[in-house]
Amino acid sequence: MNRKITKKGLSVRDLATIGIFTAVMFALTIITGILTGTIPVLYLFAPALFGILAGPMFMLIATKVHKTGAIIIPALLIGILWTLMGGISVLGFMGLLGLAGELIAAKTHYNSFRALVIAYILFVAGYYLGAIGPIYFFTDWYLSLSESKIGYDPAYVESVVAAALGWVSAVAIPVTLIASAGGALFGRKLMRRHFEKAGIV
Amino acid sequence: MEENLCAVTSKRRALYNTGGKAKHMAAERKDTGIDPRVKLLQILLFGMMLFFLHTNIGNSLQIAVLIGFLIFLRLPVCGLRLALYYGGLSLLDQLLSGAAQYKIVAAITLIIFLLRKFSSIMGIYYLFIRAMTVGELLSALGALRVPQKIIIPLAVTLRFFPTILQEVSIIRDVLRLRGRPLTFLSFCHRPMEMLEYVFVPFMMRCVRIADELSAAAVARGIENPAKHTAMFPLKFRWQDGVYFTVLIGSSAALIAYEALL
Repeated sequence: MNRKITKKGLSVRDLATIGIFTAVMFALTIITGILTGTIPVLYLFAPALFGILAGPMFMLIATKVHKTGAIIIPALLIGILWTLMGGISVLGFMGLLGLAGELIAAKTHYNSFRALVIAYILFVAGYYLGAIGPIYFFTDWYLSLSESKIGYDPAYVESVVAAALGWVSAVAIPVTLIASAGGALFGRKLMRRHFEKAGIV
Repeated sequence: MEENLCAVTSKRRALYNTGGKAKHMAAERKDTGIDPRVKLLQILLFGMMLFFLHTNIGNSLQIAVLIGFLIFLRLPVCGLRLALYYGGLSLLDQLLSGAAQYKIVAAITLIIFLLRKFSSIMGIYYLFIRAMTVGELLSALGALRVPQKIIIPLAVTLRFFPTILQEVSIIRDVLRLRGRPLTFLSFCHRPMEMLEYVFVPFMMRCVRIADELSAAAVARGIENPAKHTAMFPLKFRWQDGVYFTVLIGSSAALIAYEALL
């Protein structure tokens, strides 16, 4: 993992590596979304599941490409693919937090594992804010709408929604952070055990 | 460069989408041939409209407009599917709203509300996946001056999706041969171990594919700094102008309708 950063920009090989592992990460966002999406409350834990599973991909990109762009480009690509499917907020949050992660990792020349873990947590947090954020937004709106509907007691509906989302997100946010740190550790374990020996990273 | 790659991709994609009816798809595509840049704008516009439409009627109107566009783009089946999905959810909502005093029913109506709210995403997905080839998307992005550092990985990403499933099924076969079948039970029994068994060979293969793909792309001149040509050059025709006007007009009408209410 302790290589000197090369001055040259991203090669086609780096871009292909980023592209392929981003495809896997994007597929993971969809798979975790479908797995948890059947129950809306569980859906808040989709980013946590994504955080565990995508750790190895993220670590492989960061250690194999090992240059500026290794974190922000996957973040932007996932954002663009989500935007094309109607989720523009993912692009905004992942772009912003991906950039922050990139700056932190670049400061240590992509050599410090701790910096990469922070970058990865920011990456997953960006996905959480982008993918889950709109739910809060639309729930407020649902509440405002339910007042005008006949047969709904607004205070009552509010209590149900608050219990469902308020309490669950209080659990989901720390779980997501811990899961993404765990995913990063899982990624490093795989890197050390398999990919470094095989001479890939 | 990638336009060249993409011509192949779009053909292959057509094969994937229709199960061998590539010729039919190509013929289908020729009669509309709307500029992909306009479609890209449409996707962005309809995605953002989710945040502007606040009423049930506005939401339904947006779905109706989307279905109209899907039918115009020769995707009537997709339009029908969207109509059935949205209609079914609306019906369910109507049926359940009578019994909203029960806790469980209120929770279910919230789920239905959210699903219905986001159902235009289904239409947007069809616009993106079925109404546009990868080649069209990339040449549109290129024309919009998106940097190559984004376009090349995006091309790779979009091409790679079908491969992911193939690779995973190969790895499942190998695991079964080695006496460690990947099933729900075995996964629950030792989750981290099974993840490792799947991830390590999968990622090894991905790394190799990345190397081969980049070698192939370099051989085709992807690093050539000169301007790349496209097999189907983008042209903004009068049909695109009409489509664009209808798109902007209908979106403006929807938002105006919401604002006036």
